[in-house]
Amino acid sequence: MKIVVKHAAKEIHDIKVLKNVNMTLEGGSVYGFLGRNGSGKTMMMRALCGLISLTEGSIEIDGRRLGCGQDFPQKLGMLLETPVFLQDRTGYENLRLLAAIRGEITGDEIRKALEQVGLDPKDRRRVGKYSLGMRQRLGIACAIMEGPELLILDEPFNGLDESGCIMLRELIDRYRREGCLIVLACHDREELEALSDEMYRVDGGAFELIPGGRDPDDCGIV
Amino acid sequence: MMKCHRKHRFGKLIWYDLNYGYRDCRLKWFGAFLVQIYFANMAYQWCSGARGNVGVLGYLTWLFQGMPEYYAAETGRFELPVPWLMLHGCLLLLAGFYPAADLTRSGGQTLVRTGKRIYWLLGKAVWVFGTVIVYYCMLTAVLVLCALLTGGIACSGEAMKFLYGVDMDGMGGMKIFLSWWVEPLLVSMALCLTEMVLSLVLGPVLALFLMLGYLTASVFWTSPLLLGNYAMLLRQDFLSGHESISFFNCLTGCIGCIVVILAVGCGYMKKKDVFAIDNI
Repeated sequence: MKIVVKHAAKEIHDIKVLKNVNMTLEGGSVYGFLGRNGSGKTMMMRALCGLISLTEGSIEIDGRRLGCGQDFPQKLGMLLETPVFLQDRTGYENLRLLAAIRGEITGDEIRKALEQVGLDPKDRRRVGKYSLGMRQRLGIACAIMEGPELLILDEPFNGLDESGCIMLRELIDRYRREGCLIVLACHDREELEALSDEMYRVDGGAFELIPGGRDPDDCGIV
Repeated sequence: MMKCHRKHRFGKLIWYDLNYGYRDCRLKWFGAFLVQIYFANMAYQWCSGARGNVGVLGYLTWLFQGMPEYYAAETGRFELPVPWLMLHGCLLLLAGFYPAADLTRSGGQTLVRTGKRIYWLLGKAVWVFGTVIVYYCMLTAVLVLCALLTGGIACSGEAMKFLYGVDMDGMGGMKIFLSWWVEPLLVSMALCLTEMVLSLVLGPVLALFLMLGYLTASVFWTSPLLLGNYAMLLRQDFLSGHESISFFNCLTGCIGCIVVILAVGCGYMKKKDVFAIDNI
């Protein structure tokens, strides 16, 4: 997969939330967005997902422009902001409901995704009883369950304990090695440097490529 | 193969909406059922003085009679037909909240899985139509039960003439079916679909109030352009003499409204920015 962002800009109520963003993203790499709250990271991620339309510029995915014949990237998995699910259903039931729309995966694959994030597929607890960390894990499972080629993760480490962070790092590394294009937003620079192949500093809607990122020869996880 | 895959996914989306949408509105459905029971009981009490059996049609007429044409006068009072407004209001409440909630609740998870924004909107339109049909089926079941408990399903022409001044002689079954069942159903479909699209633009609460305002305007003014008129039996051409409030005009008006509002909705959805519910 290859994503080309050309002169992307977005204005909302006369405020420029994205300013002349240019980047090329390729599968098999992790791209980190580093910036404070309100800098434009999530907005850019929403644009990559097709959830918002650009005021100027374009986003092309494998040569096809988003918003022209293609509303959303194919094989997209995303975790944007706090995941919200049906409170009166179990985690498995929630994922099954969402997976039914595409109809591409079976119950076994949903269970596997839940196990990968450290949740028990047979847990009969309703999501309303979940802790913040469990909901975050469920959100990650929702993002990965359909075997995405593009993975958008916005602050995925929020609410995770140490074992959850280790799980997520391993998961990101595995998907990267399998050729997935991963876009990761995090306010922890060290975490981002350990995981990302390229890093962008985001400030006031502007994206700047900065030095840093993981050592290509480093095949281990911190 | 691609076309087949797209149809397949659209079918799955409809199934998703049926599953999720009705579960989301369980309490509202229960409330609507109670409202229908309440007004069916009121209909029975109002009709109990009639000579002859009132039947399902008689009770339905009471619920959907609305009011005759309103004339402003110094001493006159404008009164809304409460059962008519409440029953339509319940339906608007049932149909108006789920689509907007689904768009924003999971931060777009449902939307991106549909593959195309228009599919999402059309899926919701199908859900709205299904909601209207189920609502009227539920109402029919309530009225049938009420009629069975109070004398029988069939209604006598004598009772209809006594209660409403409606001369049923010479009125064929098709005319009754179209005027008593199909017209209110068509009007409800058009209004609920309009409310759904408005809820995506303005929010569900404002959309609901706008549609209630539109219904009120329909009571105030007798006009073929105000669709609520076609859902009031007392305003129909064969009762009021207003030739413009006819089934044909209802059909063209409602279909026209549905087509236009879907086109507007699709155009709006293509460009709409989707944010999480807290960020709207």
